[in-house]
Amino acid sequence: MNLNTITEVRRVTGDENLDWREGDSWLAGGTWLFSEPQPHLRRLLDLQGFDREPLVVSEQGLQISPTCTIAELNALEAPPEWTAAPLIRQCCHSFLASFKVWNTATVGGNICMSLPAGPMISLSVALEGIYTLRLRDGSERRVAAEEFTTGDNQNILQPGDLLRSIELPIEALRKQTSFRRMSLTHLGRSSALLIGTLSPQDGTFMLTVSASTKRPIRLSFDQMPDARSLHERLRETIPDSIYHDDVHGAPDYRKHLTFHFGEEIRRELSGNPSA
Amino acid sequence: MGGGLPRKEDPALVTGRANWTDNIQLPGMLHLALLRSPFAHAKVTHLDVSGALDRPGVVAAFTGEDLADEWPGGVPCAAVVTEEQNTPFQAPIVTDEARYMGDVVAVVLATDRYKAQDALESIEVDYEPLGVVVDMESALEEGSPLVHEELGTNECFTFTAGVGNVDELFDKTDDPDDQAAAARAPDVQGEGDTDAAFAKANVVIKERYIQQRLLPTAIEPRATVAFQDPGHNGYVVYSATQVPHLAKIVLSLATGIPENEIRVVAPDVGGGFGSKLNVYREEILALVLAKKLGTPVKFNEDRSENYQATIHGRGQIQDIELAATSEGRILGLRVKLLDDMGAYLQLLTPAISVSGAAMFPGVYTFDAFSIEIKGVFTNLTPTDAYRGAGRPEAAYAIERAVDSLARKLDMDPAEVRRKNFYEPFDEPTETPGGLQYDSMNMQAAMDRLVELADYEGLRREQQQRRENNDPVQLGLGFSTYTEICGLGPSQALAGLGLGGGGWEAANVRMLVTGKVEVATGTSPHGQGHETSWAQIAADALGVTPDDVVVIHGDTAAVPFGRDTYGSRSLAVGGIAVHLACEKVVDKAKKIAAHMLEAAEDDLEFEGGKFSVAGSPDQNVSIQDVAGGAYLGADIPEGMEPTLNENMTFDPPNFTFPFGAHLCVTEVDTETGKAWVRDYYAVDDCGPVINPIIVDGQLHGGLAQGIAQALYEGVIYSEEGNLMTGSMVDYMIPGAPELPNFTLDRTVTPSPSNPLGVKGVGEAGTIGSPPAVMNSIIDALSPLGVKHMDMPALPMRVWNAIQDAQGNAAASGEYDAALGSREADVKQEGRSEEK
Repeated sequence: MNLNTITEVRRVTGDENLDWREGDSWLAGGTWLFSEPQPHLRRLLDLQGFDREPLVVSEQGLQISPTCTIAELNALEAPPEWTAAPLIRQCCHSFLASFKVWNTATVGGNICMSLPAGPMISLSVALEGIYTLRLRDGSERRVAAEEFTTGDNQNILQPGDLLRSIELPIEALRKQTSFRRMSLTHLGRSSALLIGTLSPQDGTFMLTVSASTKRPIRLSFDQMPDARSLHERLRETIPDSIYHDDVHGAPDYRKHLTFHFGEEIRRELSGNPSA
Repeated sequence: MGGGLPRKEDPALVTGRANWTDNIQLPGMLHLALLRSPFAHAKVTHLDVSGALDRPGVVAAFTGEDLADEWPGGVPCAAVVTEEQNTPFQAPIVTDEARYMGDVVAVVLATDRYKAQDALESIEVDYEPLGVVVDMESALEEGSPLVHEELGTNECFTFTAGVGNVDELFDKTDDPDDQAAAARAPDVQGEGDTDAAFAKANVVIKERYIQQRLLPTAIEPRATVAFQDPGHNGYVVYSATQVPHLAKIVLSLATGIPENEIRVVAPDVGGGFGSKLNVYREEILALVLAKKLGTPVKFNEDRSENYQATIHGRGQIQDIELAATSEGRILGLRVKLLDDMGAYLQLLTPAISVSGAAMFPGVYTFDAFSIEIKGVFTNLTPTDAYRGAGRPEAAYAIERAVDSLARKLDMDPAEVRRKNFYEPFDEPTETPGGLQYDSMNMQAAMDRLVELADYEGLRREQQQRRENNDPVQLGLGFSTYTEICGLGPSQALAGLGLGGGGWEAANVRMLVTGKVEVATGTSPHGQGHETSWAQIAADALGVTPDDVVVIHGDTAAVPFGRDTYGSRSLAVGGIAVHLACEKVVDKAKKIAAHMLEAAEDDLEFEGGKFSVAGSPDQNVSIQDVAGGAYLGADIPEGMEPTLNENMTFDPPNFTFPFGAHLCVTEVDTETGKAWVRDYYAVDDCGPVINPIIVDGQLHGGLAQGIAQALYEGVIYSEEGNLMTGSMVDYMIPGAPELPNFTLDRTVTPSPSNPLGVKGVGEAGTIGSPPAVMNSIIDALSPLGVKHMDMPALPMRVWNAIQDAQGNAAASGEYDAALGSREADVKQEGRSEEK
């Protein structure tokens, strides 16, 4: 829809010093921004000038530009040793999105929107992502993905701050993974999205809980826990108040799914369904 | 006929050459945007549209007061189901109160759609929120906020009907465990046919089912363009409508513009599912404003408006009681419905449930039946016809109850059904609902279904999973349904409060070159009439379907018609085409006899040729006859030139397609997720004109029925806010959610028309919801689950399992809004199987 309060659209690179004003908004893909009225906005700072490569594969891992589209990420041909790479497509397919949205919506937009069901959040938290933020004063800050989202539609960005890059470290990309998701329809919004990773080097197990909770939560274990330990950790770490409530599921149900999928993932990565 | 001719419509549709209403661009055209109330019920205390006039591109802005004289009739409702029915006036723009979220408060016209929409933000409006009523039972309570203060009640109507003394049947049974029976009905010896039934009744099933509201979601939202006809003294209204002929009448009644000064055109229309069987305030506004401003006016809704302001479907609370013997023989049925009207009555709102009332007995024969329907106003979007319109609701209730009976008696649901089917018949047969079913052979459909699906094999697989405690259980759900189609006999429609006019008209003309034009009063919006009608005409006239062009959807080109809805098109409109063709052939035969200098009785007509019996070389093609008839130089003396015949067909009875469906569902008992693994359907719509189109109708109908059972449901907050206002939250299944359908047919011709056809447009939507829900309950019955309402969302399924197992179930704000917890708890309290 038209955003009829907008008086200026300015193309930016994200590196220049900006006179950030009240009423400014970054514009990436715009799929959410243009989907509903934004009467508080006056100026859009268009990140199309953000000319970084969408995806950079290196020995250090994968660097994703925030303006990389979902379609570009989905099309990535990952090195064969990246055993975690299937997660990328699994998460790209966990959108309530048509191919048109895929070709416009960005990875950074999904992360900064910070909805509980944002699958790019799930992906980057599960794969131990590091976000680089360019703060309003021009300085940079690196932050773990799991610390970025603080609640439903909430994150640590302050006005004028910008997500500059997402890095997925090579160690995480070489882990074994397990993925579970509940959604009413294949392309529907997730009511629970859990990802487990297992390090082949040191046996550490991580369980990322998202969509069922208002913010992503990652549990780490030095070694694969038994069922009781996992259950206890989930119970201790995720208070009932964190479980999300919307038309896609009540908190109690989401809690059930979290525990259920968590146990399924634990069993799958243990390599022993009855473990 | 009978061949799978690819649809003639499709090349244009799939190559972007369709002519949608929104494609129409006219010089000077203004775009209409509507300011809609954000409150479900509020008094408008201040309204000033002048700010909008200062916005760029804005030409005009109006309040309801400004235009009140332009719509003497308001938005009409054509259905009067009882003499006491309350029919409130619906102004296209309100002047006092907004009565649902989306009610129209003011309008803006601008040079483009976006400028008009933007200018709405410059209208000053203050609201004083009023009490809101969103559920029907609360609405009927004393002291409830009133949707229409002037009516003094939220009750729209109370309709009752029935045969036999059904109350006595339910007041006492001879169940020795039913200690309260004598107290309820000390005198058990009633009169008439219920005596015998009463004495036998051992089991009463009492259940409550919720028919949730649904959003029709036609792929093309509503659109209208209205303008003064430059060449004539009148107006043209292009509209994405199912009913151009009805719209012409209704627009005239609403605006006072004489009917013969209005032409309505339905160009290509992208689906309707009943939602475009209506004439909306936006169509009236476009016409009124085109007249007032002297310039074309276009309205085109977006999806948010579509969800908010296009009618919703369903919306019933069904209390059903079924009495039966311990052998599974149904003795009687008592039904009480609350039917959600929403805030206003649209074209047919009160008639939807009433027209389905007689269908509650379904395919079962018994003596005693009664039904009471209360129409209730709420502060919600008006309801009206949605694919099936009254019949899916009826089929759902009886089919769920019959499965409950089977469970209660520990009988196979197929067996219980077979015990109660009508014996096959091919002449009209009286039903408990007071109708005359035309023909039926449920046994044949059921036999074919269990064979097609390997029912016994499926039961074995189910048993295996149960024995293995498989977390994914298998459920088998039957639905054996019939529906009332072919609307319909004019007298019968008048009896339903619909005024009559159930006929359909056709004109068939052969041109000088031998080509054929068929003008039909039906108005397709996806049904494929251009193909099927061409097949009917080609078959009757001995030409090819490519020789036939079908003209429809324009009241100037086809002056008389009753349009397309209620699976009526083939059984009424298609028959009109067939009979008009017969008239053409009859006249052509006379001309051919003249041309061949033979006696008319000596002529045979086959393969498009008239030939003299015994002398096949003496022949003339119908094309040559058409040419001769057109030129008029060589036709019998006194005969009118041309082959050009009209037919208006008013059927003697409705038609009653029927079928047997079996849904095979897998249910993950650990997450609550249910999905349809296989779906088998044996439908009988009489002889088939085009099997591709019939299969397509069934596929689409099944998808919509499965959608109601598993996915879709409108949610409102207690304040009347639509929580499922977009496709993010209103979940429409796509192909990945649906199985391959395994279809077959039996053929039982209808005696109601010469082709024996019955109609198939809604069969899938009617048959599938109970089949799906019965399959889910079948899967979970070993866990103690006896009831669940639609949609069977994973959380709801999981909750039902937890309830049955005595565990605490989930609850949340939105879950409560959907009514699942309340309904499930209520159901538990009401369960009175004896």
